[in-house]
Amino acid sequence: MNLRVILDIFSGLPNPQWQLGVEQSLAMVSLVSGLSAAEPGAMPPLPDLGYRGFEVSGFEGSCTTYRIFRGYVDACGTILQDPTRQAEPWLLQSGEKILDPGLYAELLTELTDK
Amino acid sequence: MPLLVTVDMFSGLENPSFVIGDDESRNILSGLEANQSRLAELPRPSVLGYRGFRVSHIGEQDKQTPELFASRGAEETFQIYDLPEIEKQLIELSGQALRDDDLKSLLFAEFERTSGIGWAETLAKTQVKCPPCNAADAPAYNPGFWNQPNRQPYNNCYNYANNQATNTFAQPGRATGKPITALSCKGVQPSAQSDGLIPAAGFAGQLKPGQGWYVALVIWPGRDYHWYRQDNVGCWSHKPGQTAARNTDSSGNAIADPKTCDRGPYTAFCTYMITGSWVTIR
Repeated sequence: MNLRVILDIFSGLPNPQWQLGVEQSLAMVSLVSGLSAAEPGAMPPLPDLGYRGFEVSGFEGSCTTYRIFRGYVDACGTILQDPTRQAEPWLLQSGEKILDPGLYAELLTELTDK
Repeated sequence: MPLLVTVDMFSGLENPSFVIGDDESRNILSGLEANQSRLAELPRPSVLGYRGFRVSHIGEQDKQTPELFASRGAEETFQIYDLPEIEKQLIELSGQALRDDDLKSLLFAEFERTSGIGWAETLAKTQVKCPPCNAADAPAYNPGFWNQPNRQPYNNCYNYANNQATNTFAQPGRATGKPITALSCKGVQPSAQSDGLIPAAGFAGQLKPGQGWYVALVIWPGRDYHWYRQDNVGCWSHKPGQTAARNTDSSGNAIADPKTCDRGPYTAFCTYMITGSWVTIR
């Protein structure tokens, strides 16, 4: 299994996207499966412009695409909470080689600043 | 003098409600009477989620009917929103009357989230007056066309502003051999001009049939570009990348002018431009 990651951030330019390796994909599945349920509607609304989280696709099962944003995971309507916000920095770091260095640094600061 | 209190929060389910007795009613009523002038002004917020409380007098109208209700008719219901002290009392009463501490916690959380935003200020922000549209060819605001699964992901802000769904996530200059050179006004605008867009000083000038409509180019410095378009209603709309087309800015307000609306990180306003059927994009 190779999960695909899209950093949902741009408007004019295409969003950066990359593929996780097998081990990375398994690590992502493990990370998400360890999260607990959040209240329905807990995920903050996505902004129109700027960072809108990550879209990760290729999961097995009935829900194949997850949205990860601001410490929450939307798995086809089921909301999970990631209170220590592990998932987003991890995903960002998985795409370091293809991301613009300036954008990468800014986002990393934003995502790890608690 | 019992009062019927309804928690105004749901859309599909029936709102929870309960009756409060004399002592609690007296406290609530004195709060309402102190805010009578505001009660006349506050409409019901049209949002999803917590919208405050609705308080009604129940029972026969008689000399016991509180003046507040008697003067308006015994069936009058007051929408209590943006009256923090009364809301907090009602939240406490909700938890007790409905024996639901989870509901009480949820209401306090929603109250915290929505309080501090004065309703008058909120009203002022949402009452954006759309300017006149002087472009005969300006498109109608039609999110239904753009936000379909077979179109939304494949068309971006540039597609939308030009009202051309090429399904290529169009880029300025790609159709005419002049790609973007930098993520700046100087790096993007020439590419758009190459496609046929025409710079404009503003959007007040009359554009006759065949002369197109107004769009605007903005930049997230060094990162990205974005486009808005003026619809035939006069206000502007946009489609941020793969996301849905919408007619509100980053603060949720209607857009009278993209130069002054909330554009999130797209802080550089480059120029208004004119686009039309002569423009080629890909």
